This record gives sequence, C-alpha cells and structure tokens, in this order.
Amino acid sequence: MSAETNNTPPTVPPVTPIIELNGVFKYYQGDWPALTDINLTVYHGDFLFLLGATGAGKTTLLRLLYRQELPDAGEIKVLGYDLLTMKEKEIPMLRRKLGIIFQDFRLLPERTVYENLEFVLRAINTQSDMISSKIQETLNQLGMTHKKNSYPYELSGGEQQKVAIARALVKSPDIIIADEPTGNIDPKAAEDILNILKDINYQGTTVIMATHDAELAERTRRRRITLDAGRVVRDEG
Amino acid sequence: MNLLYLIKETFRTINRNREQFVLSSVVLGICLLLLSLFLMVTLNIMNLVKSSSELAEVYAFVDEEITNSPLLLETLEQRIASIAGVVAVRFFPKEQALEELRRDLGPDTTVLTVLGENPIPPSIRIKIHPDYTTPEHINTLEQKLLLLPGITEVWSGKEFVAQLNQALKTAVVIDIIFLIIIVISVLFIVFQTVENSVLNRSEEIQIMELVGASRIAIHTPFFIQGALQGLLGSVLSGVLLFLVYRIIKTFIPFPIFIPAPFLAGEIVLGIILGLGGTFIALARIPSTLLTMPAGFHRKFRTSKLG
Repeated sequence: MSAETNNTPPTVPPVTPIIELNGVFKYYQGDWPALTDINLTVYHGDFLFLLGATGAGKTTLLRLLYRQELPDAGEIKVLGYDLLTMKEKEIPMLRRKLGIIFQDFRLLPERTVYENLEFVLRAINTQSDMISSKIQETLNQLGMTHKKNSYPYELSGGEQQKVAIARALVKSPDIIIADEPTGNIDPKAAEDILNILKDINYQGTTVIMATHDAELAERTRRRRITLDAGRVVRDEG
Repeated sequence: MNLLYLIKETFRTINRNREQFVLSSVVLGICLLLLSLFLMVTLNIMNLVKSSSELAEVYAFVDEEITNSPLLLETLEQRIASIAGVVAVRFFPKEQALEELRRDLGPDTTVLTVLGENPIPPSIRIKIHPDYTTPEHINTLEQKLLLLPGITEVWSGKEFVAQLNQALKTAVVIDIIFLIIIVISVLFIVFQTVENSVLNRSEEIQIMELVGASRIAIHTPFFIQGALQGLLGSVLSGVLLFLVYRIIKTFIPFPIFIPAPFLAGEIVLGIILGLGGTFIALARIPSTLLTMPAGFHRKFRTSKLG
C-alpha cells in the first residue's frame, strides 16, 4: 500500500479502496493467458508502479481498469463501478473520473496545445466559461503556458508528454492511469514527468503507472507490483 | 457539448474530407433530380388526366334528317339533357364542325381539299359533370344515347382518358421503383462519406471515448454532416430541376412545376436520408474503434482509400 496518503479529500477516507480486482483472468485468442488470477487492491491516494517486461500484462491490466476490455473471469471494481455489470452508458461517467496517459502521447496533431485540452473539456460537457480558466490553471501547473498555441509537432517528446498529462489532468480525475509515460522520452524528461506525477499524487490523486524501468520505480520508493507472464509475482513498497 | 462547438467540429470534419463531401453531395443531388423529374412527369400526366376529365365532352353524332326538324332536334336535346350526369347540351351543325376542323388544321387545308364535300356529320355535344367522367358512367351514357332515335354514333374520348390513366399508373410505378433505387443509392452515398469521415476522425473519437465523451457528443457532428449533405443535395436538385423546367418550357407550352410542398418534402427526404446513412455508418463502425490498436485506422484508411 502507498505511503502517500496526504492531502486526501475529506469526503474520501484514506483507507478507501478505489480499485479492487479479485481473481481476474484474461485470455487472448481464446486460450493465451494475458492475465492469470490477479488480486489487487488500490487505495485512494496510492502511487502504484506496475512493473514487468514487454508482454507481462501491464497494458492489459490498465485496459481492464478503464473498461476498454473485459476480463474472462473475476471481478473488477473501480471507483465504485462494477466493471462487469455496469451499463454501456455508465462507461463515459467512469472515464470522466480517470485520466489516461499513453506512451505515444496520442495528441491531436492538427490542434494546438490549448485546443487539445479544450477538445477534452468540450467532450465531457464542461461549461464554456470554465474552459479557459481550467486550461490555464493546468498548463500553469505543468509549466506549459508558453506553449499553449504550439502544435504537437513543434514540441519535444517530453513537452508532448506534459501536454498528454495536462489533458488527463484538466478534467480533475480521481485516478491517473499512465501506460509507459516515460517510454518514449529521454531520461531527463522522464525524471520531469515522474516528478509531475508525484506532485499530482501529493495533491490527492491516485496514480497508477506502468513501466518496464524497474530502476526508476525503485528510486521513487512507492508501491511496486511486478507482473510476469500475466501473474503478480511481487507486491512491495 | 456546446452546439456552436459541435458545428465547428462538423465543419472541421467536412473540411478534412471535403472533396468526397462535395462530390457525393453532387451525386446525391443528381439522384434526387432524377426522382424529381419523374415526379414532375407524373404530376403533369395527373394534371392532364384531371383537365381531360374536367373538359369531358361526349359527341353524339345525329342523323342529318333530324337536323331538318327543329322540333325533333329540340326533343332529342331535352331527352339527352335529362340523362344523369349531363350538364349541358349543344347542337353543332356540320358547317360549324367543318369550320372548327379548318381552325384546328390551320393554314394547311390540303386534307379538306382532298375530302371535297363536308364529311363531318352534325353532332350534339354533351358536357358531363366531373363526377360522371368515370369509364363506367361514360359507358352507361353511351348506351343510353345510342338507344335514342336519331343518334347514329357516339364518341366520348374514353379511350384517350383510359390511355392517360394507364400512362399515369405506369408513371407512378416507375416513380416508386425510382424512389426505392434512389433511397438505397443516397443512403449508400452518405454511408460511404460518413464512414470515411469517421475513419478520418478515428483518433479523435478514440480520445473522446477515453476521456468520457458521451455517445451523443461523439456522434452528433456526423449526424450534422449527414443532414447537411442531404440538405445540400436536395437544394442542388431543386435548382437543377428548375433549370430543366425552364428548358422544357421552351418546347412544351404549359408544363407544371413541382409544387412547393413537394419541393419541401424532397428537402426533408434529403435530410432524412442523410441522417439515415449516418445512422447506418455509425452503427457499423464505432464499436470496432476502441478495440483496434493505435495506427490501425490510418492503415485501414489507406488500404481502403487505395
């Protein structure tokens, strides 16, 4: 369990589990086990590393959490939603509470930094008069205000990842799910990104970060779960 | 999602795929034009049938001898006038009939010269009430007239009206077939355009789904696009139809144009078909979007568009 439980919102006690996986199995192509008997509880305010080599099941596990895929067996609860029984129309409600970050950034290339963030806020029906201030506030937090009119191709890898974080953060999520966010950037930028995620966590947001960089995770001294061939082989920190 | 922003997003989508949007709107317009042209032909035949029925006159040719006796002629006229459905009765002497024929033939009087003596028999022209212009009523009237003494022959023009009615039925059948073909074609055209727009926007759609955009927010720009395409096509069809009408008018003196309610109906049809094509496209595509790996859509689009 995480040591970082400071600054948690008063309405949610620090010990509240916000993610629960019980006996989760996931197979691809019928019988190829991507995940085997995963049992995991994540508490509010946790900073959790998902470690493992390529193909260990990290991304599959994350995809299950934001309901991009369903397990073949087991139970998953995220923020009170039972992901197996929830209705299709509830999925957007769940995802509005999650901030998802990818290794390849997935920014919209024809839109500026500001427009990339605006796009998200518009998509989730944020009031028009709130949009500008929310974007400004988020870009300030990440030190990216000066790049708000830049297009993604004008930014470095680290800056693009910061925009991707801003995009996840701008809607004030309860959980940040980051899939190899430092995988495509240089070590210095990776350090910056990690520090940003730690800051976000200090402010009360739960962070789950998948990475194959065990050294980076160890240095950070947070909860580390190691997957190997779809099984949890270690849960430490 | 804010409506203005949705419209902005719609135009962004159209702009990305503008060549196909414009081209398919033109094809859609031509499809609707074909439908309109057939509809215009049908309406004109209907009008012809209606006016033929309204002007319906039955010619009862009479024995020349009877014309020599005003009393007999008057009695005959009275008996005809008493038949149900007869509105007016008018005697037409053979000289007047010849004069009418001469007027109809215009300057070319060769036929009359060849004929020599006036061959047209005298007649009584009987105006029929519009309610009695059905083939059954005309038949009954004919039979009654032929029973009257002094009447040698009856001509009602019912064969002509029957031919017009047949032509009208054929036109309506062609209209229905055309309507079905055009509905399918237009749905397919819109479907193709929207499908490509969805694929063009697949990365954005993925992001929208991941951040928690509702289905309505994701789909609305495509529905606006489909409706716009239908609107554009139907307006274009209306403009082209008017031009065709102007051309036809120089050859045929009194064609009737499609009335405003029909034109409005066509615009509504265009919009409905636009929305329908969008609905089919969206029902087919988005469920696959999220399960595809990143970059799939670009590859799929490339292979699809050649």
